This record gives sequence, structure tokens and C-alpha cells, in this order.
Amino acid sequence: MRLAITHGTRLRDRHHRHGHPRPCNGTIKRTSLQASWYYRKRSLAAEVGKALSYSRMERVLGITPDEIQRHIEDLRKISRMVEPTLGLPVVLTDPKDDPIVYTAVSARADVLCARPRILSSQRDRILFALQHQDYERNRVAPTTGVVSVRGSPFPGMMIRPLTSFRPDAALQVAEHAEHAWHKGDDE
Amino acid sequence: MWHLVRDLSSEQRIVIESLLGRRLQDDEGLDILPSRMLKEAPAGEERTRAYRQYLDHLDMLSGRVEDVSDAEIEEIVSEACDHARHPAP
Repeated sequence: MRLAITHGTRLRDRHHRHGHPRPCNGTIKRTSLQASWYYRKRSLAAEVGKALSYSRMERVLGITPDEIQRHIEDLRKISRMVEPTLGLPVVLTDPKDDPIVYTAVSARADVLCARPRILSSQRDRILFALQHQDYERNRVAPTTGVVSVRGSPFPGMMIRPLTSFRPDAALQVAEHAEHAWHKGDDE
Repeated sequence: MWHLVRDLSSEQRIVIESLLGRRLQDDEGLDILPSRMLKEAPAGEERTRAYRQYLDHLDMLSGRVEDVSDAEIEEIVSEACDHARHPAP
């Protein structure tokens, strides 16, 4: 199981307290435990580093440049790194999000955890499962809908959004990912 | 480059169908995008160790914001992401 998680969810995934993570964060934490990371190599350093060094983030988190570098290096170590070729526009509301989708596709991600503006703008948090057609059944958690994108640049690919964030469904994704992780089921 | 399936030669169509694992329809299109693998993710114990290291570092950082409200964290993260991805001109 491979995941692609945008940096917003990365930054959130460990911000839980008292051992009782909020459902979404807990799910992402658990899910990301199985993750292989993909990101375009330049964007990884640039975007994560830039977000972590944002003045208010730096002030509240007290993170130092060395710690930011360490975080980026840790991400690199656990990641599959790909350099995707960008194709037709996908995220029409924000073309800067297209590399996220193409990175997930290039790295054959099973799940893309993203903020709502990625492919949809419906709700607070949405977990998308991206999968190739040969993974269409049984390999990804149940979803509330199936969308076959018209004019999709990904022949044979289905994009399955959870139309609203449902912790129960997302948890199933996490459990599936965890199971796949322990089996070493990467393909 | 966008290809219409109906414009493919029969040999090309067979090869692509075998890669896709399904038959193509004449009214479908294809956009083939090569991508480069720069580094494979670690496997086995190395992956477990690397991920543990990553989580430990995040735990250490998270410990610093235990007294910060969830709402404030959400706000800061959103601001930081927006700052990174959509910097002011």
C-alpha cells in the first residue's frame, strides 16, 4: 500500500494530545505509518521547508532550521521519490495542486490523503482513494461514491472520493494499509 | 501527447490493452506520461526503522504544542500551507 499525503496532512498528523488523537489525525497517523512518500524532489524540500519555517509556525512550534532539515531528510528516507511528467490539468480550481495528483499517479499510490481543494472542494477533509482499474475491487476501502472523471488524463484510472470525511471509512483505509504494510504488500 | 484509440495501429492497441488489462474502445483517448523513479522507498526492517525515526521526531515536535488548542494548530497549519504554496507576489 502506498500513500501520497499532501504536506498539510503531514503537518497535522502528529498534532494530537493526551494520547487521544482526533479521528482524522489518528487515522492519518496510523495510515501514514504505512506510507511510502512520494513527492517531486524539489517540491518536497521547498514546500515542507517553507511551511515549517512560516513565522507563526516557527514561533509556536519552536522549530529550528536544523530540525526542519532533519524532518525533510526523514521524509526522504521513507519515501519513494518520483519525478512525474505533468499532463492535462486536473485540479481546475488550483493548477498548483496538479503535481500532487501526478506524483501520486506516477508513484502508483493507492491512496491520496489531501485537503479538500484537491479534486474537490466539498467538505473540510476528504480522503481520496486513487487506484488503477486492476485495483478496482477489494483493495481499497469502501467509498461513498465512484467518479469516473470525464476526459481523465489517466486511462483506466478511477478516482474515488469520499464525498465527506467519514472517520469510519477512513479508518478502514488505515487498517487496510496497516495490514498491507505488515504483509510487505507493496504491489 | 493525446492519442485517440481509433488512430492507433492494431499492434499499438494490443500492447496498450495488455498494459491496461482491458480492452480499449474506439472513442477513448490515451495520454502517456513517462515518469522517472528517483529513489525506491525502503523495505522491511529498514523501512520500519526509518519510519520510527520519522515518528519519533514528530512526537518530539508535537510535545511542544501540547498547550496549544486544536483550533489554533489548525489555523497555523492552514496559514503555513497557504504561505508555502501560494506566496504573496
